[in-house]
Amino acid sequence: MRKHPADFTSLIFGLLVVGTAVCVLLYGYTDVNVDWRIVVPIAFVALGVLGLLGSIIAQRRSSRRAQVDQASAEVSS
Amino acid sequence: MSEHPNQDPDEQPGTTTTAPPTPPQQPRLRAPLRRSRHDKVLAGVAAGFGRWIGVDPVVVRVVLVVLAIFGGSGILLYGIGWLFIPLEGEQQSEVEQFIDRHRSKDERAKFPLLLIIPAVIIGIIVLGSLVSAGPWGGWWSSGGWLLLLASGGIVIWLMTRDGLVGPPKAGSWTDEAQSTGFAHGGSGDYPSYVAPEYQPPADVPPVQPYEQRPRSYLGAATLSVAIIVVGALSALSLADVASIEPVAIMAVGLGVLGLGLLVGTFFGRALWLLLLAIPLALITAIAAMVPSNLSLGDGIGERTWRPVSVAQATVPYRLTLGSATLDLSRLQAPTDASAVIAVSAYLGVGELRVILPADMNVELDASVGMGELSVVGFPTIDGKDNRLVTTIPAVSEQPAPTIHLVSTLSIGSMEVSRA
Repeated sequence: MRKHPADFTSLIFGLLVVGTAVCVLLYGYTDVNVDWRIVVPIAFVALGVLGLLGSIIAQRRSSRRAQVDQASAEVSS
Repeated sequence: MSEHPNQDPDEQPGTTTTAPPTPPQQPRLRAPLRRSRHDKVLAGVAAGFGRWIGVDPVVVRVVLVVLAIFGGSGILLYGIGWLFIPLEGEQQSEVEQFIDRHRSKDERAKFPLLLIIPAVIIGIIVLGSLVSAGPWGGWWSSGGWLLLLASGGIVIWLMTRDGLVGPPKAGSWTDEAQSTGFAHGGSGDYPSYVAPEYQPPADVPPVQPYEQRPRSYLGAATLSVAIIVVGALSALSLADVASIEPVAIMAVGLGVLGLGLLVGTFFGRALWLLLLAIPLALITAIAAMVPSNLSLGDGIGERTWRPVSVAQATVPYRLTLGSATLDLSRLQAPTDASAVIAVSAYLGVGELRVILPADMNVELDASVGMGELSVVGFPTIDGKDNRLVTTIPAVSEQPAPTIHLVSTLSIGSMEVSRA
């Protein structure tokens, strides 16, 4: 499989799905007490942090693209 | 850098126009997400979204209604769609138009950041109110998990809006140039035009040209592995080789799907697995929360049990889903002070209120599989598998008959108070 630019949709939902599975297994089948009052807010904050990171990366990508577009427009004119 | 002047290619020996002219292929552009003007019930969110993902709007409406009933997240999602999806024929959503009216152009560039921060804050505030309203069991059963997923969806939508995250969308400059060769030589509708060959300026790092991702088999492979794992674990369980509960098998299968999605972050593409993973995550999470004592088939709705005689009181009171009140305050106490009346109440999911009589002793055995337990004279406790066994004496100090009350709740909140 070829590597491609990071797909944040896959990353976020992958983390949510794996997190759900791990929590269910920990909660039901080990002595580890999953405290949802901790897990769920952490999930929200992590989601927000990922969103922020994604936004920053997106901002950089789009501004870089705008630079290239501008440069190409100058070249073609 | 070639200095191709814009002149007739016939006068330019060695240009790239030797290939037969082919019309520029129309790049496959996906229609942007827009609220529908024509096929709308309220604001055209469901119709627009359905058309965007290629699903009948009726299906989207049904899902939204179900989500609205199941914790109200459908209303939340619809409202968000209304605010953030532009109307058909318009470029900006209601929120963007609002912000445009209040912000300069430079500040608008920070728009995604400005939106995500309040979204996360609102999410935390909503969560806080849910925390104070009840235990996580109640939170789960009220669809809080859907709220989390919905929030994730909002964040992703904001990030992928207009292709801000991920590879440039089809139709971008580089894509069109690659697919048509248009930028490197005249062809098609403009045979007389030869565009200068593009070379990126030295001070700007070149962007990676977008390539249409090849068909990925990651999703199919992941699903296959998940099926194999689930099948193997089921076989082990059925053959009594290992005792594995169905919920655990589901969780392992879910984990495999999630790992496939994580791999898809960098390699291949397996996003369609979400169609399986999200419902499976919901079912698995709810199934894991359901206590083993949950009994089905005892009815749904609102019940008020108010026995007045001993014969009425000893009938087992049972309800599977809903709200139930067992009011023992009007129960006529037997004259025999040594009498013991056995009363039992069971509620599967919901709210159970028990009102004790003041003139009788109560031997209480209250248990809550998941949720909140509040007994008069005791601090409220919540969590999983809580049980409180106590004796609550009659108000008067005279000898009084005794009620032996077994009150059981699987999921929800139980309140035991005194008349």
